[in-house]
Amino acid sequence: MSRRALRPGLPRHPLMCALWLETRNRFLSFVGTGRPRLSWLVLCLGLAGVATAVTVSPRWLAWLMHEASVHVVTVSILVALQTSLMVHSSRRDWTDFYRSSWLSALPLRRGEISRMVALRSCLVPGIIVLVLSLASAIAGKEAPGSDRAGQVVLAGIAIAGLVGGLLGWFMPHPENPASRPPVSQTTLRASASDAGLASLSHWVTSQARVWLQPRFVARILLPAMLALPMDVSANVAIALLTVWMIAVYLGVLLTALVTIAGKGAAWLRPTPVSLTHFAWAVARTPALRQLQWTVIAAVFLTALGCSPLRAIRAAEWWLALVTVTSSITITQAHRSAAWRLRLMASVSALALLERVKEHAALPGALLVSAWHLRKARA
Amino acid sequence: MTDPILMVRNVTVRYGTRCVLSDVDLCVASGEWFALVGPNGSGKTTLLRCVSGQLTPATGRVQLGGHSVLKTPEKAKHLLGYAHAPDRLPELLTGRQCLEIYAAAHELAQIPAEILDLAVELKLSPVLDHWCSTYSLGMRQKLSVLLALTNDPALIVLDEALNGVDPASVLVLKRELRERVARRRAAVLLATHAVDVVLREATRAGLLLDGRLVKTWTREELDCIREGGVDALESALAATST
Repeated sequence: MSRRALRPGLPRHPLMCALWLETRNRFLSFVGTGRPRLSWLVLCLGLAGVATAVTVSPRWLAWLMHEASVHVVTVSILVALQTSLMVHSSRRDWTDFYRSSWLSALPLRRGEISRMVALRSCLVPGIIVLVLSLASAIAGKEAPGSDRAGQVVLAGIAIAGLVGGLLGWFMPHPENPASRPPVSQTTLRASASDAGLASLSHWVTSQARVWLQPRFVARILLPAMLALPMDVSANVAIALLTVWMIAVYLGVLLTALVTIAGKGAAWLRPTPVSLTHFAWAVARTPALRQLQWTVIAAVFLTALGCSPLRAIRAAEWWLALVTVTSSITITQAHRSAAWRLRLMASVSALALLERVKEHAALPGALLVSAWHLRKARA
Repeated sequence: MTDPILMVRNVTVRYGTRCVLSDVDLCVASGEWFALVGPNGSGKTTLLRCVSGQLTPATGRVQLGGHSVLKTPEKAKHLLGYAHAPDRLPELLTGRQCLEIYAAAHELAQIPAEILDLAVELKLSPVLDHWCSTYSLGMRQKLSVLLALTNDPALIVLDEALNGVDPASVLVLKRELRERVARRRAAVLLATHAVDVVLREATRAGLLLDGRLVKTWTREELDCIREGGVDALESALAATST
């Protein structure tokens, strides 16, 4: 007996059918139930965004295409690298998914699973390459005299996307997930000796280290290396890349703090741990690291020729952002309350304050944080 | 032993440098109910994942009805009913959609009537059209077992599948499995900590310790242990473990 469709209109292949039903149900969950007002708001904003892009895009697209056609080799290498990395990691993730998901016990041929993995691995990079190609085609049409530039960039992106995709697909990867080394073992061992709530603090730094895997760092570093101007010395190039990596590390550390504040609060809510103890435990090590590395970044910026005042102002602004984000997420997570709107309002207020009076952002952030902590404790 | 449906030979599995299973040999015949017991972290789930083809062993082979799970998975998995862990079920499909996909994959025209009847007995039918994300742990366990039974498998593999299920439904599931073993000559491989299930239902049991199958008990030996009282199996397990 051969396979047949479950119902008319549904794909006959079980994996495709599961994908189709899940996608349809996801859409229904977005528009049909839950929060319809929010769904419509998001939809309207999306449509407005597309309309704005269509209206405004030709002019800056033409400029972008001109720039890209000057550096077409660099752009092509960048596209090929990104595509290969995306396809490679997607292939590994989807292979693991179909190996261990609820569909893994089904009697399917290897070819059927491989085709599904190929479809899902190439879908996102394919759409990105398609959008880039479409943008270059529009730019070539809209801007007079940039036909040739558009065609060159279009060809470069298409070939680079194809080559990158093939490279990513055929790049060797361990077949068996069991043979891969565990990622977080070393970082967890580092915090095992700490007693009490201090481990919470190391949870944040461990999470940041887990996120900063070599694969992620390579993906972040490669575009920066390719974007370096050709006429800078090796010392300046290294300094620029160092500043870039410090910036990435600080961003990841802040994201880890926000994540762990939520997870830790949810985990410890049934215990009598107070807000002060919780906040101190979660924030102290990341805060120290933020301070250390922001100072180092400011020194590097000054060494690169940035004026000391501007470097200090950038450092102040970043520390203000860290302070206000940490305090709001920790206090709100401890109360199990929403924090995004509050954070947006606070950051906007700080930006306004900094515009009115220079170097006021950091004291303002400290005041806002103290107010939030006091209010939460009350 | 006649007609082995499952044959595991010299299976070794490593997670990184840690050896989780070491040279495990196991045969389960048709019409047999094999209970796999052992302390947490002894390798029970890893062994079941090898049997279902989710994990490739470093060495050794696994055959279902004479077909290799790794080389000819399509043929081998036609004989397999594997109850996944509840957290593996898709959040955004309904129970009925899951059953339909399983039925289609096994080349059935529709969900077998006996599975729908079993869903009624398990009191799962009122929520079959709800998304799995709304199910409780027990409901997910029941759906996992129903999915495993959809294709009337020759080997039913259950990984602590009765945990979190209410007593009335446990009775229904045990009766169903007993009937499949006795009447249809299906085999059951169950990893469990439930001592009563091992003592009352299993025809054989095996103790997995630190990745090695260190002892097996026959039905007669299990009967002897059962006569020894309520805690007899736990005492036997403790004695073997030390």
